[in-house]
Amino acid sequence: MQIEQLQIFEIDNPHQVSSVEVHAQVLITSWVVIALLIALPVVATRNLQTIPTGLQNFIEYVLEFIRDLTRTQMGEEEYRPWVPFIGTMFLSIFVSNWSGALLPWRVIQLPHGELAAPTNDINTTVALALLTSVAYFYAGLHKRGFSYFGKYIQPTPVLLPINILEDFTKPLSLSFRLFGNILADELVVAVLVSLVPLIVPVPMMLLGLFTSAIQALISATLAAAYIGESMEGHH
Amino acid sequence: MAVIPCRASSARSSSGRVPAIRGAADQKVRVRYNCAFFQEALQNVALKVSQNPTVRKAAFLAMNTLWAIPAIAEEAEEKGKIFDFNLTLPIIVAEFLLLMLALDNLWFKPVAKVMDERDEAIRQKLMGVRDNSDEIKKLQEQAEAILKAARAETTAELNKMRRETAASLDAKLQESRQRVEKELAEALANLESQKEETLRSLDKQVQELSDQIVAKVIPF
Repeated sequence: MQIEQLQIFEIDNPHQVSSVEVHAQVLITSWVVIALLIALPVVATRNLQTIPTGLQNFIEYVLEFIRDLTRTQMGEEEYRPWVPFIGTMFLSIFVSNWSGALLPWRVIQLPHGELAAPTNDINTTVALALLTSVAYFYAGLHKRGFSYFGKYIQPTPVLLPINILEDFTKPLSLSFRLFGNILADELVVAVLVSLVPLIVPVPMMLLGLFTSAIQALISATLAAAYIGESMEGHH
Repeated sequence: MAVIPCRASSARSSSGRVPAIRGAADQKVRVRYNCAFFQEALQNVALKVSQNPTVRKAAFLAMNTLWAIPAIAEEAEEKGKIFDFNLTLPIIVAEFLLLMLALDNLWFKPVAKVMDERDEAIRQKLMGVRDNSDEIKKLQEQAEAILKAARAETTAELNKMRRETAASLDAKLQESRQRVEKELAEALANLESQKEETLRSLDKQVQELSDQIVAKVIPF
């Protein structure tokens, strides 16, 4: 199984220096995820009542869960503005992973490459990790101004290179954790399905559902933790 | 000097160099890579460098490694490598930010509003209930005060009644005692007078008797 790209741009200009490529299968699946994530609240908030039932109950539960997650990591005073960011992070990763595992993407045959979870592509996970990085830098600078850079010498100045390195390893680990988990699960399931398609892959698929949900939770929690840590100040 | 291997600009002609896994169909669009600009700049540098022998050797080695890299990259790219970053990354960033805006306005804000309103309403009702219990306490205190006052009144009344009855009893006792004494005195006086009378009558009888005796004794 190969992760190939669909090249959808043509550059006619002979003075063009570099090529422009896009992984169209990632875009297609990410559009489906976005459509699902927007359809759910639109349907559920049609008729909001004081005593919730059914779908409204579910979306209130999800919002309560996200708020609790954010509040635990960032503290009571400053968690409110960050709920949309952490919520979108959690929901997009969760729905991406589960859509890759549950929806029958193989039914749609592409000329090159396949449709799968959008998080099995390094571009998606690095994009999310970079967004988290930018978010916690922005949070620290916005809250503390330039004294934010004092955190690099915080416990002792001897740790300065390690603290600088941390700014690189944080997005690296975030992206690779998610990418590795999702891609590896997909590869294992694909291999098992190609060997014994009937019952044997099912436990692996269930494990994949579980671990991909955990990965979504971990990504969101870590993002919130980094943002909270950069806002709070002293270690 | 080394010549930069530039890929031909024509689309269809390079289809033979691409391995079968790519599957060049006619609808597939090709990537063009034009590097004539680079070639000129590097040849200028090469001219300047070729004066010094050591620098020339170093430049030679550097050039060779440099030319090898695009070839390796090209090969890896055609194999479908795992770590290729391209325009997908910024597109996903843009999609995420738009999704964040949309979810915030469609989901988080309306649902948060409903939940917060509900919490506020519940808190108001709880506050109301707590105020009622204060009123109840006040009423209780009032009732107790009234009861205490009533009890005090009744005991005062009771004491008054007791005192009054005692006084009247005393008065009656005195009265009867006085009556009894009076009657006693009367009876005594009666007795005295009777005694006087009897004494007098006795005296008279004694006188008569003595007269009779004398009359009888003395015969004339």
